Amino acid sequence: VSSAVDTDELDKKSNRAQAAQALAKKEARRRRMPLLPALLFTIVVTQVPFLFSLYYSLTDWNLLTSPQEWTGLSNFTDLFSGQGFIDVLLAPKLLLTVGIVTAVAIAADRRYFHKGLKPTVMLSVLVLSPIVGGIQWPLGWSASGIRAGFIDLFGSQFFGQVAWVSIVMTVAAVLLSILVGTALALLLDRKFFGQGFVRTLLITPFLVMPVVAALLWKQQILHPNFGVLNWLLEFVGIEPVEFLSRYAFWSVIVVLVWQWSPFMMLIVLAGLQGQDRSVLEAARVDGATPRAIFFQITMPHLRPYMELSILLGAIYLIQVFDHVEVMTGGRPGDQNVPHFVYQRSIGLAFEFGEASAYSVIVVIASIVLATVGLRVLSNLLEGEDPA
Amino acid sequence: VKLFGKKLFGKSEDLAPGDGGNRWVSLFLSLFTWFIGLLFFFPIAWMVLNAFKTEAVANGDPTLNFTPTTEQFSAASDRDLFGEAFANSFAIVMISTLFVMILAIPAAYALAIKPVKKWRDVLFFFISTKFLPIVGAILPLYVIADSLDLLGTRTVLVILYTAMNLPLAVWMLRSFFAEVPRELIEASQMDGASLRGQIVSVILPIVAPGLAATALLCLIFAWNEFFLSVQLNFVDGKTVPNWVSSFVNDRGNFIGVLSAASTMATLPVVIAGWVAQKRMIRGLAMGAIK
Repeated sequence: VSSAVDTDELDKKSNRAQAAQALAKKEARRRRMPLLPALLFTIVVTQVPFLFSLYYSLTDWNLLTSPQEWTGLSNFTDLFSGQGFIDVLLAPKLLLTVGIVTAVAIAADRRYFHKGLKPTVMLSVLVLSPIVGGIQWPLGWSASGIRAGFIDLFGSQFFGQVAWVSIVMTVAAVLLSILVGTALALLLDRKFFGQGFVRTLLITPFLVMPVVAALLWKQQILHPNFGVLNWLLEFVGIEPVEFLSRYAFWSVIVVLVWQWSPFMMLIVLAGLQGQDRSVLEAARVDGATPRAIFFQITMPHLRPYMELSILLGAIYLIQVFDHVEVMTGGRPGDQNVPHFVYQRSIGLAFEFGEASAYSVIVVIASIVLATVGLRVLSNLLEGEDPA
Repeated sequence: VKLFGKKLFGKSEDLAPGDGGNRWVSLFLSLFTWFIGLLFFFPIAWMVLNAFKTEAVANGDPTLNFTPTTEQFSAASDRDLFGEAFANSFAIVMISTLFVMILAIPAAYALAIKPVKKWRDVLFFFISTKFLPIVGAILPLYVIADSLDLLGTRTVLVILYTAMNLPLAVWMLRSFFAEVPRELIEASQMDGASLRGQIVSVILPIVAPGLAATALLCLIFAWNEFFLSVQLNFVDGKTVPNWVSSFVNDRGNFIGVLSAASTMATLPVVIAGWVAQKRMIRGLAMGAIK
């Protein structure tokens, strides 16, 4: 009899547990519902094309010539058959480099990381180490040595070069933009006559269409004959400079910084205006110098805002196409990866297989960038856990 | 001395640290800020000036001495595709931003107010799709659009611009939603409000400035997009950036008309940005951190 009661109770218990489980499931489903449309849409539109790219990258598909044939990994091995890459793989210093990068990652880990992101750290270590090792090894630490060492990593000189241009272009544009943007925000965060008007002037470049900005600078500012900058140079007695044939790369950087520093200024300005004035006042009363207030109160307060600007800026600047196309026409030496992929595929050569391999490499490189980006994000989201 | 400083440059406590309250430094910084502002704006002002010149003047030495004419504006708007490009752009930009909002608002709710499990991972996923370079996808997009007969249509751009702006919108809106006081939402739930009721009557009014900032950024990025539009819409459904770039030719002598076209192409977004700049700053601040 007693055993029958036991099983009865057990049944009841498990029924209750099941009911609770069902309820929790229902609640989870109810919570998931509003998310699904956006999630499914994003997966279909952004991930499916990438799977196609992955497939094409394993073929020798050229739209103009052959029917596509399966070529396995040869597009990739071609890409990474550079002497430098082999050197790096055999380099004794590789171990040392891996050690250093790992140490740096672990150091950063303590400060920034959620547990779940460990795999991404490991991935970035794996990807970064040979690059750092390669830069260090063959040709020394001068700017041209680093560049040559980097290009040596790749089987295709062309791809090595455009990858280098892409990296330098993104890093330079992002860093200069955040520097200029922060300076502008600090200048604007004071009460003075016409503050709102000057802010309006300053944000306008960000609103200008990239194609228009590139054409405007090319035809009307930097042009050797009609450009207003050269006219001013002539005015003070300097010979006109052919900016776009001699300094195309840096001309592009100038235009990018002109457009993106206002965006970064907006975010940093938002941070400055959200600052607690009473804290600043208290520090002043306590006799802190303006310099100390700036570096010990204002800067730490601005850090997350600056990180967000850098993240958003990098997302858009690594993909720059319009400026490169309009201002350099994709000349070797000024051409970045997006433009190169375009040229090798639908722009000119129709080498879909080869171009897809480049795309895949770019995506993998972007994962490294995303790791850094996500690190910033996870820092921003830390400690925040609603309901 | 103090009085003068106060009157011209505001109260001393409003001055940013670093001014040291010195009125000469303050005056210098104000003038310097004005100078930088004008410097940043100068290229745009120059473009607008050139738009009012005849082609002969615009393609000569730079000059301020000219008789303004609107002939370039009429020339630019007489060009093929003018009406079509603007109509296409307006339709594509508006519809895609509307879709972005329709998809992003419930998603932001599910990430901020009644968060799903692992909401962080979901948010990371959204943002990480922005790291996939468009060039990495343009080929398959081309092939897929071709096989669906969408090449050269407005539809394909609406779909892609929605996907392009959705992660940013989800990211920003989630932050705004997280700011909504919990008691308000709980109270509306007690009253038996549906999900839609909660969003429409409780949440949206509070996050309106953030919503406006988000929508505006989506509008700007979609209006200015060139690459996808050139690659996938070379025949029909051309947008404004396409139209502007059509004024460049190898024969030269196009600076006047190009400036007029550029001015017209830029104007809608610039005006929207000017009007909404304060909201944008507030919205970005809310969206940035909380």
